[in-house]
Amino acid sequence: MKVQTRYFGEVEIQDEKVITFEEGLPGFEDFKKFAVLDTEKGTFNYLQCIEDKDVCFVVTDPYEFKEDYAPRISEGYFEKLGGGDSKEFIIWVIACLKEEIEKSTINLAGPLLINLNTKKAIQVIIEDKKYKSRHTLEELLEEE
Amino acid sequence: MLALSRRTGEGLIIDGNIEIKVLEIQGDKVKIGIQAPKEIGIYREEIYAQIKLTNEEAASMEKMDLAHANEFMNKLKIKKENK
Repeated sequence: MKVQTRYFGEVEIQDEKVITFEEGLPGFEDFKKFAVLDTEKGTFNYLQCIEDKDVCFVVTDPYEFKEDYAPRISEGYFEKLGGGDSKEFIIWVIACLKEEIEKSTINLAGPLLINLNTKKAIQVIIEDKKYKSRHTLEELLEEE
Repeated sequence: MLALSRRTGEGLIIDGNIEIKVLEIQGDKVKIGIQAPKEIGIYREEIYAQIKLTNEEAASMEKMDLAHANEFMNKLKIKKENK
């Protein structure tokens, strides 16, 4: 399908790439359909909303920054996304990039849980003081 | 907003399957017990608000140069491998 994007104009997105956030994301409850664009080859990627070109996030693999990242996610979330083998699930986090890359932050308190099989996703809220909504890359990379 | 008064040990039922109980009151602190189906998300308000705010900030960034950020990370990885 043809999709309008925030940064790249109209792009073609295959149907199987579409991920559904049935509840939207906090602050973006009305936006359900997203896709990761294949414009980038690297750590950070765009998560573009299909329904509104202006809604676009930058997402990344949290384990690149924190190898021992282990948010406690209750069973209910996995079931909500259709359940199945835990191998079918992946976790991304939203990044907030800054001019100085080291000052960019990632949100470890609100990971995106995605079921690759059902293509359903949800933003989980982690109530654990260890994980903040704004960890700077600087602090995470130093820890390693 | 609906406002109801409850005493310690008393509760509320919402929609037949969510139970909220006042467990303990101490000064200005109330301990609340909630029993709800697993698929119901329950969060402390300020934590939910924080995630919402962070999402809004993340989505409102000016033109983001991912190539630059990705290049930064690649260099870092190479540096690490060479160590």
